[in-house]
Amino acid sequence: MSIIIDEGTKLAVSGLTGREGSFHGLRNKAYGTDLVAGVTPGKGGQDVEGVPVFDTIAEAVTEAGANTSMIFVPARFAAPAIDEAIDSGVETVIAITEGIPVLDMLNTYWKAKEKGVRLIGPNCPGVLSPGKANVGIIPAQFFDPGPIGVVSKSGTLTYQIGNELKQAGTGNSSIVGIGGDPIVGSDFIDILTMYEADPDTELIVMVGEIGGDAEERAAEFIAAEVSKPVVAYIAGFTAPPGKQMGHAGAIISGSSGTAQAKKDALEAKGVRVGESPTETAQIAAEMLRSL
Amino acid sequence: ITRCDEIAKGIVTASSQIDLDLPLVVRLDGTNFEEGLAILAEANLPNLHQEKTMLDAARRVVELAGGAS
Repeated sequence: MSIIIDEGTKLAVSGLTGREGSFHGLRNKAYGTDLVAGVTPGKGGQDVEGVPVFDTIAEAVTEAGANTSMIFVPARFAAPAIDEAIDSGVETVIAITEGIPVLDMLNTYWKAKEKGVRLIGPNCPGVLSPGKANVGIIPAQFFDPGPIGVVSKSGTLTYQIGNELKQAGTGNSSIVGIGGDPIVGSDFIDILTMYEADPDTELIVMVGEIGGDAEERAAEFIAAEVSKPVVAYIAGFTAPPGKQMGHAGAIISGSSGTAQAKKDALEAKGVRVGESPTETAQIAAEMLRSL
Repeated sequence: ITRCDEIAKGIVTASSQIDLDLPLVVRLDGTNFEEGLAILAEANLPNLHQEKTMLDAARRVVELAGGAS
């Protein structure tokens, strides 16, 4: 079944006329995603390799039937673009952009919640449902369809795990990058809820990292609400406190947000935690075989 | 989002501007990795060690730095 995106996804890409937006938007289309529109203010009426461009996301919805929006717009324009998407009539907004100010996201997060629009990201690689659709920058060739749902703060470590799962002979229902910013539209709990309800997902792999308390809260949620087995990987065991390790949200403050604390919290709730992406994929493949 | 061919071009450009005397371990996988590997193969840089997996690359770095393999 997969979650968030599938064969029914009709995608409008804000930024399709730009260098990165066109590379990844067209790559998504080549994978089989139904790319119905590009959106760039002032370029309505143009096309990108046959994909019509509109001035607004709302027009992409009414004229081209878009139900999903991908935001591939520079940071200083991105929060207004996400806000526009939330108001446009799409069901889902996937925001790839990194560098959106936290203050902007405080407002945008609540706007999405109040309107009931699903927001993934920002600062995320997007969502892949193997064999069905790819929205974002995930290199789909590393993943096969299968019964493992992945939810991750990281992009690259997820591709590593996905490739190892493929080599182990299994695959994924969906891969969801929730993003590396301190405020993201959907967190682990939101995605775990979807995987729990998805009939095609039998096991879940969760990839976290230092910073914040999303993994600790997810551990509580898993114990209370998730019946499917969960395997986790946490990045950042050797990160020094107070140093931002790449992602804006990946920072240890005082004693909180450490990788060890997250590992302990997850293991206390019965989640096995791998110490490397390779080990995590091995544990997941083994557990799947024993189901 | 990072393209392996751009990484490879960056390495080749850098080596034409500075003396790359230290060993450089490279592992390319992901977007445009075949193009990246082709660029590095053609450049044939000395001191460049290529590995296929993350684990092999980490082991090679430790070995070249004089640590236990």
